[in-house]
Amino acid sequence: MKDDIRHIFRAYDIRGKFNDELTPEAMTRIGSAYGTFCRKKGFDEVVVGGDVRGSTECLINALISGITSTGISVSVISRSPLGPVLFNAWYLKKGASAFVTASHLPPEFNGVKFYFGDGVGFSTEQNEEVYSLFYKEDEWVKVNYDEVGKVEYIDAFEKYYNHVTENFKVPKMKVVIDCGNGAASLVFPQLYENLGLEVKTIFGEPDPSFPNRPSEPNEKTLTRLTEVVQEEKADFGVGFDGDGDRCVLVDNMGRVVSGDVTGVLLGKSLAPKKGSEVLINVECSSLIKTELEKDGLIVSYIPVGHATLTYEAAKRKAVLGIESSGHMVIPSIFPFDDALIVPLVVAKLIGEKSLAKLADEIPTFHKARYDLITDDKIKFKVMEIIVERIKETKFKKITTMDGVRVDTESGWALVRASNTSAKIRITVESADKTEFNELSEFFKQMVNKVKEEITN
Amino acid sequence: MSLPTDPFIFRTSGIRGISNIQITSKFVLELGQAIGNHLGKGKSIVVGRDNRRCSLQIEYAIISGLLSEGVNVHRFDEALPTPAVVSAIEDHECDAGIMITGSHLPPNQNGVIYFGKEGTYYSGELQKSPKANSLPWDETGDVKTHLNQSERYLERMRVFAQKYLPKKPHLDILIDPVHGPMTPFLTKIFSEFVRGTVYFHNIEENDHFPGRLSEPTVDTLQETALKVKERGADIGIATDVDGDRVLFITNEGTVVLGDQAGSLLAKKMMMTEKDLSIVAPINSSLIIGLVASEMGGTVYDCKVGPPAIIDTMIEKVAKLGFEESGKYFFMDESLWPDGLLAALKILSLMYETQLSLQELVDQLPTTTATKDKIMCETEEQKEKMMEFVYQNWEEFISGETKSEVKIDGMKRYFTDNSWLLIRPSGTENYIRIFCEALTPERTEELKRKATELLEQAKESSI
Repeated sequence: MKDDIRHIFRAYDIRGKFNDELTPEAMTRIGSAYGTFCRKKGFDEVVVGGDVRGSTECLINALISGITSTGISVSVISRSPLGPVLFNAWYLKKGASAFVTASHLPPEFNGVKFYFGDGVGFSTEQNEEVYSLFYKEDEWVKVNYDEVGKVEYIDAFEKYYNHVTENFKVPKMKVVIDCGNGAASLVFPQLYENLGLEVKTIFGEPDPSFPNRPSEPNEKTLTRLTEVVQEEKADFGVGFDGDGDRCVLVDNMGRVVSGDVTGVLLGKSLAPKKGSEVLINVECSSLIKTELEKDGLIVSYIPVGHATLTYEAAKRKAVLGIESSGHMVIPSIFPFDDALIVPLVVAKLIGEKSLAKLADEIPTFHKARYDLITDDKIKFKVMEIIVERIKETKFKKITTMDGVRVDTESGWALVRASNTSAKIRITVESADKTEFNELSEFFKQMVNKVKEEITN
Repeated sequence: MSLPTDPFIFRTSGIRGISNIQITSKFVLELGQAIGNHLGKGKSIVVGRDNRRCSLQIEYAIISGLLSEGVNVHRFDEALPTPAVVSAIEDHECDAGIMITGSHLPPNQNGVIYFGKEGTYYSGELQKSPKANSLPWDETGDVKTHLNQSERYLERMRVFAQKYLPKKPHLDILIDPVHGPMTPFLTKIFSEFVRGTVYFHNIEENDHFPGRLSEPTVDTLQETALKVKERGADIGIATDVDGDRVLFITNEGTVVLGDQAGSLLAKKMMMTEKDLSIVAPINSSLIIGLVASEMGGTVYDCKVGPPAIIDTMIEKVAKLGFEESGKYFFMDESLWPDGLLAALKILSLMYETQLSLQELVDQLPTTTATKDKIMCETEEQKEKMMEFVYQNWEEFISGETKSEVKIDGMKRYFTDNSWLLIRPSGTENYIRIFCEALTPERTEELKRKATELLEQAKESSI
């Protein structure tokens, strides 16, 4: 193990290479730190789950042992997508949950994410508190032999299936599910069948080496899905990531539906009362704002981060929360960050109009994201300088809530440092091709120039 | 306070310590890695546990350690007695087994026993895994959880019950499994194979065993013995928490000593097998020797502790071994002492002889045994004193020698059937004296002379 593994403790989760950075021993320490945090919050019981990665079994056992040493009892769901874990923590009224996963990262990675019982992820500050305990063994709660936490296995899926089928009805149609050999395969094909859909599954065997496609679902990785949707003449297709908390839709013509268009369709399908609030993060397309405001919704921007999303959505009673990363929450139906529900909500719109037709009715913008690799040590310094410098430019409408965002007549651009990795991300979008190119070039040059100045 | 981790030290009954203080998640994880390294990548192991509160904490950490060394793990969704876990090694064609149990220890302690394929178990030093935390993700071990191990063990026990109690005798039985995982097996087997009433004592599920201390002894079983008498039961059967030790209580409420029960078991086996070989540790009662010579069997001495008993049984092809703690080994039938199996044989003996347990015990030769210990300051002094004992034995100890054994201290049998053992303790700074004779006077004499010898030895060692 590397001596210093501080970098694996990130704003929203812990992620590292198995054994190289994240060892079973580190995982028992994480268990003690997390258990101690939970004891301080007054919790006695938590749910612990894990995805289907090769190292998950090894790490989850270490994590559970560490948690029980603090006197917290654990209900275990050993192999599952994220959704059923969050659902069970809520349904069984547990204080918190922990999920062992590295989401869409390559197979050698693993990690863990923490949530409260209501499905809201630990905030950056709460995670920091757990991380600081990792290094302070003296502060760990260590109970007597007769107070050590108990462990029980729970049948996680049955109650989850029942809850979804009781609360959700979808029209009969044909869907192709691409599980990407991830944890989605354990639950979603069965559940969609229970809902009365005709389901064709591809890459539906859990395989931690992800042999068929990378775990991240996008236009490049979902080529087989797009073919099968057409071959099967399906109404739509859906591709999940490794732990089933994000998905990407494919329309009946085999085209990947962008996250922004998916967001607009979700808003329309929910058909909320006028004046309902939709939360989108600052990286999201202005398309969502424009389109949903046409339907009388109030669209508000929030900072990036899925913990923020679930927390704010619950607090503000929003009907929908959308993250540019593909996380979407629909608190009115399901208060958790669970990709399961997204295709179902969109499917409700499909009827007279096909998904392809529905998607085509929404105007498309020119949009791109550029990730500029920037050392963790300087990325925030770069941003500070850009915040200053942007004031001296031609842009009039500037927002600095989370990074720097400029809005123009037909588009916008956002520059921000990633909380979770060593990069600065530029997002550019415009209805006008020329302006799109100008904005892209302008900000790429700006970031590179500031980086150069700092490094020299 | 903390236990050593480099190397780990397995005593004659595994690794033991205070739960969550000495036996922490981290300690057990590293122990799992050391065992995994010792066993080797690609091998498979069963991991079982008793129902102590912290046994699950230990199970999860030890499994993580084993997986991280590339060992495949078979686990169970329930607490099980030690004999059920050891027999699972065979059921699942594994290379080894681990039992997490505090066995007969007080509730605040717990331990880990590491078994080989043949039911032998590891004692001695085990080095920390030099490869710990280096295996890539795709070479870690797999876990299989077996949901019906108790059913498999029960089936195994039904076969024995059919063999030993085919006629379903009329007997009233009181069982006291000290709240441990043996409870359902004792209950089921006796209600299926014995016509009579089964009474219960200390069977409520409770993970810190409030009824009595786990170790079954004359002292800890006083209350249970009283219940046997009150109920008018024919026999009381009292195990330790993990069900490998068992002591019996007679219809008159007397606790039968382990050596006496071992001798009754030898009698039972010698009814069909005249030239039985029996292994008993060097501190065992002379009763077994008398019983064996009367019925044509042979007794082999061995060092104290189960590892030596098992090794000697394998060497001498002995079908029975036992120690006074209440562990009885049946080489042909079970890899590990099994309280339930021993109980079936005792019940069978009662049925076949049509004698009460008290009568069976009364038929055994009566002897007087005693023990004592002399403290010494250091390991070095202990050795010096033992040297003195070997050299000056003749001067102090009288009696015509029949035979002599020098495997774990010095034991001498005399022609009047009495014996004396002077033995250095393996774990503490004591030298122990054990002696036994057919009369109390001879026992007292042996003890007095041995004490004089040791006092002299102590003086000369300073």
